[in-house]
Amino acid sequence: METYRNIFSTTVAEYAVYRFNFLLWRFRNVITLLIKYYLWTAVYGSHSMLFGYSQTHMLTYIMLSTVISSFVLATRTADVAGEILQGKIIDYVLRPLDFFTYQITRDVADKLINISLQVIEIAIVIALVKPVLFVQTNPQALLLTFVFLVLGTIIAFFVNLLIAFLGFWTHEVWAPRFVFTMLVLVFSGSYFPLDIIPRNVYVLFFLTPFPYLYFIPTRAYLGMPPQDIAFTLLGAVGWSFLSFYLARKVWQKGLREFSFFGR
Amino acid sequence: MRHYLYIYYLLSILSIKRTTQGQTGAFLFTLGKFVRFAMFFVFIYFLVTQSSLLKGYTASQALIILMTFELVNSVSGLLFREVYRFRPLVVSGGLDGVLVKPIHPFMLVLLGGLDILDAFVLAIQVIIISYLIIGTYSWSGILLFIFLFVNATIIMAAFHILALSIGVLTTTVDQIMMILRDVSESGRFPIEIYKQPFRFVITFIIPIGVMMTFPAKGLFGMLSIGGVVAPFVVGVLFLAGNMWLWKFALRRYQSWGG
Repeated sequence: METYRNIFSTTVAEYAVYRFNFLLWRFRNVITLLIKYYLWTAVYGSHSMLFGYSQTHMLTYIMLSTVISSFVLATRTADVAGEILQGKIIDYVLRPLDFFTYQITRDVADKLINISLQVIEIAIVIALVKPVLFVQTNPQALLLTFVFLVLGTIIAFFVNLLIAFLGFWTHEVWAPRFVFTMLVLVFSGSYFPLDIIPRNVYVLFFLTPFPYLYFIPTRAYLGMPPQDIAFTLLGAVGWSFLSFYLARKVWQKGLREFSFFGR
Repeated sequence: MRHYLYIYYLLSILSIKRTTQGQTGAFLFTLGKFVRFAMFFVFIYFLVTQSSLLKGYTASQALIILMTFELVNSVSGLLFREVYRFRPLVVSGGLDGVLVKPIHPFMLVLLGGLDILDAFVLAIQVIIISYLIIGTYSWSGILLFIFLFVNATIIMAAFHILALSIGVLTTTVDQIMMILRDVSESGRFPIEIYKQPFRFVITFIIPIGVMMTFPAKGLFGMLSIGGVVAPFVVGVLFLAGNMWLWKFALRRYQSWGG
């Protein structure tokens, strides 16, 4: 336990190395939130309702999904691919610690930093533009949001690891990550809620892991149609187990086939 | 000049070879860029036709503004990709090796990494915008669009020089570029749609409007004489200001790494 506590504090300390970079990273989050706010306020103009969303609900969706996305997608697993390619992965395998717990500890530290600072950033944005946002008070909806947030985080973690493990077989590890980022951009509801697209296409999205990352948690906060709860929950749990199982299998297979010269 | 063109040719050939060495990676990167472009094209067409984003523009004009944004971004990605590799150079002390070479450092750190993958998306974008404007607008409008577009590229170059200068001073490059990219996203739409004070910021502080909306406005014949001259003045001042900043940063360069 002491080991993982040290890993946690080291990960936090790493952020203090390049402080200006860190500050700009956080400043960027405020800018992103402000831009999305101004864009969607402009989209609504004099309309009170568009695409089945009121302006208040849409602004809440855009802001909350931005916050949830930066929490769910915050990960240090992207470094793993480079570590495999440089042979550094051997260090982890030789040390008396579990690789997955090590990565989870780093990600928890990363996410805690993210969420703590996000609270401050959201407060700044609210103070600056005073948006009218929807506040959910239904405990069932809040519980569902939390459950989906946890499941989305699990899926994102293992899918990110899976992409990093490609490093066991190929040097081209950044291109698949770029494609993954683009797919997340399109299919996770970054720019608009996915349920504004035709229902038959919308349902197909749930066969992929993307909507569970932050569209579904945000939708759950706004109030999800009751008929959608069961199958989205099933999908999120299914993808959590599948991504975990695949990450384990690929890790074991990768380790068996891994070879490296020069260390 | 010929000497520099030859060096640029050599650097570009090397960069193309480096990029296309991993064919699967090159294919996936290009695919990702197409997916992003197609997504925004459909999304923004959907938005402008369904909402109140037009602000007096026709849907076709709104698409031309979007395409201008995409063109400026693609040209900037094509020409200035090397800026994204600048930080490791500063952190490792490798910049020393660039500064002692008998050519201007911008040849290596600004223009030295032509990204051929952006050229494929750019080609599609040029075809789309040509389809949208040729035959619909006058040749004088198209010529003004081209001049203002070149001016936008110069402002983009100035932004990249700003990032390089901050990189020398603070070792931070990527976040500056990301902030620029995030703010420039607002240029996908006519700047008139935004409320103050945001519109002020993207017009006068970070001249996104000058880069993205003005070329299209020139094409539509919506600019007065002052409106035509102002972007070029902004371009020259912005470039001169950032060139000064680069020299200032170099005077303070301490060779961090090594």
